[in-house]
Amino acid sequence: MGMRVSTTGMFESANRRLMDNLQKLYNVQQGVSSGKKLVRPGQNPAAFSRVMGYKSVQTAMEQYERNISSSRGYLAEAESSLQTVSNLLARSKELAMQGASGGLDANTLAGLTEEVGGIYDQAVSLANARYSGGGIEGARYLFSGFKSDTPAFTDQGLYQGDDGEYKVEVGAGESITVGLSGARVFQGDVDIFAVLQALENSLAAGDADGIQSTLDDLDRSIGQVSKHMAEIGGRVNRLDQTEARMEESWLTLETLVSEEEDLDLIQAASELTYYQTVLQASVLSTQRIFQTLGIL
Amino acid sequence: MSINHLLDIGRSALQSAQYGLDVTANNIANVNTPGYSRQRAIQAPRESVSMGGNYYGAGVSIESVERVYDAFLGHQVYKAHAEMVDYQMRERTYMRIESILYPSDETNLGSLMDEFFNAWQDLANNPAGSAERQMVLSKGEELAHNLRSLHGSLEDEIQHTNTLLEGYAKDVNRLASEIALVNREIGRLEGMGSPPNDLLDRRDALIQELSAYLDPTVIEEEGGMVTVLVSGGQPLIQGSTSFTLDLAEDPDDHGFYRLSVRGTDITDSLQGGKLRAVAETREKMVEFQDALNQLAAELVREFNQLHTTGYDLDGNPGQEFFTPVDPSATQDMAREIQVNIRDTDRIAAAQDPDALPGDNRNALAIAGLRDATVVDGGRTTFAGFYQSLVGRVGSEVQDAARKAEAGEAVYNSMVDYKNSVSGVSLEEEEIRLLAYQHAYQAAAKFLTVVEDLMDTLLAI
Repeated sequence: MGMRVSTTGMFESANRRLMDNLQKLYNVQQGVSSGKKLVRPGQNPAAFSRVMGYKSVQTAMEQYERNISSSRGYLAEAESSLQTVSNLLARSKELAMQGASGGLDANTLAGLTEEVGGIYDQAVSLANARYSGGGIEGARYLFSGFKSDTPAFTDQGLYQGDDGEYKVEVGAGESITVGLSGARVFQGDVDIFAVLQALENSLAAGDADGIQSTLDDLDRSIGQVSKHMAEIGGRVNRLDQTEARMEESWLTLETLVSEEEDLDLIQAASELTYYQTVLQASVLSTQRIFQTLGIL
Repeated sequence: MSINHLLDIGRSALQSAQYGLDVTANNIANVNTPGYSRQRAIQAPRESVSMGGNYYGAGVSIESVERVYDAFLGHQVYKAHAEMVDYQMRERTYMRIESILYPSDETNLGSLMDEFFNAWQDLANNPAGSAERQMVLSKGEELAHNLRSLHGSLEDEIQHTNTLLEGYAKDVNRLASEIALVNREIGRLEGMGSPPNDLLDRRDALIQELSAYLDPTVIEEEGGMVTVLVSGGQPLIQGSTSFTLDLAEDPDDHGFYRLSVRGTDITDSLQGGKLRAVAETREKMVEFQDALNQLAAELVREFNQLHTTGYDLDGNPGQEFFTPVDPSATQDMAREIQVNIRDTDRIAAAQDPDALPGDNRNALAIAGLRDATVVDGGRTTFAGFYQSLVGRVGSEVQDAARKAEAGEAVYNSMVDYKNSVSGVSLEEEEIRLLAYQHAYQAAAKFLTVVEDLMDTLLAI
């Protein structure tokens, strides 16, 4: 013999089972409508901690991405300044060769002198370029080192900045140097401004030997500028690689988060149908039993 | 044997059937009454009469009206109830803590720390930028505010536990004195014959209510009264006497109430119910608050240490970024933490006072705290510490939820067992109705036969 069945007990347990099935249906429905199986830490504490960790790394990556794009902005502007300086130096070399060939009249020499003078001014002003991505202030000189609010060079070509080259973080504990000090770029192995000044002076004086002697320095100046443009290219490459690697890690994290957090919708949909059927069946069977037994 | 003897047997049959119907009717009437135990009329033959060497039956009588009840099952139900209520309450409490410490994916202490560190990165990208400097201050203030508000919310929960206990103690004391009253009444009536079934049910219902607060052990005494022990042996009710559950603040444990009965401390020996849920969860809440204080203290220490080694926009040495400056000044760092810097120019982004304003090295160093394992004795990062705190709360929720679910299953099956013994079955009562009806009809018919016999006799 099984347990004695009492009307009281039957009603209570039928009621409990109905509520239980309703609760299960509600839970599945909640999951389906949010698309998530992990919303609160208590649902799976270990998985939730992991997901928090992944998301925190993703937030950091968003920041590294911002750092990278800000660095790219700086490097692009520096590169464009140096490209123009390089063109100016090439033009100066043409003028120097013209001047060094000798037999030029005073007018032609004066014209060459004036053009080189103009090139000098342009070169100084390019070396004093400001970073346009510097916010509202804008007064951020590209080549002044850490003294970024001071023009890098005086009109006489004297360096006013320092040798600080700023770094940014592009990954956890991974930083790259972005800043380029004007002292290194313009007055490293050879003082580009002094070379241009010497050329201008020699042209003004009609000193063919003097002009001739600047040709080597001009070549070395062009070489110095290209070397730093190559350095910039190398930095941009490294930024690109870092970014590409980060995008991959981002996708991996995204997959990990989704695996822990997202509901398998197909499975959830079939569970939904299942619990609906169960609930209907339990309502029906409860009705039947009470109809059959109803005596009063 | 006189003919009156026959009349007497008939009368007893008629009356017993009527009493039987009475009990059946009462069972049917109370089919939906919570806590009602079905009753049974216990019939027995009356003492036989000896006549000429033979014994002749003398009819029937109702010995007693019994309630069908299994004291052991009743005890199991109380126990299961206390256990279930305990874990249900823990689950609800921990879920509140969970939503305090992790309100949403978008806004939580972890995401605010991330944003604060990011603000330092943005500052490193443009160390002289006033917008970037402003952002560092705003995010720092948001973070400090969040720590203070988390501390406050936990403090409210912690303080609330004493208020809860006051209410619960009042309930327990009311129930105890009611149970003692009913006990006395039962003791008085039991001496007078049949057990007072409605009072027995009433007492069971009161003890059931009591088992929501603690774990009562019920011992049946002579004369129908019970002794109720709580917390593994401390008598709360003894016959018609009840004792009070007393509360006393513990100065060594956050002023939390300790519980005692007749001077015996029962706080640590509670075995279920809301009282144990409160006693357990309040200690955990203090642990969580301590963790928050630790996080705040380490944040203040690390940031101040780096910030004071740097130089601000005017080349002055950096001041403390957060207050309180002295970490030993308070136990509750999460309550006290404030951003000390008011002026954006005072943010120390530089390492060299002569390399201004472009020196971003201190800003970078501070931003690097994000990944530094400097928290909890160098074991983890700030984010890691917070994640494990959330994980700990989550585990408490999960653990309580599982135990509550298991407790519900046990309680429900105990209630099912109890119902199968004590619950009214309408089908069963219907059969009894028929049985008593037939008995009544037959007894009535028998009495008409006796009447005929008397008529015959008188006509002689």
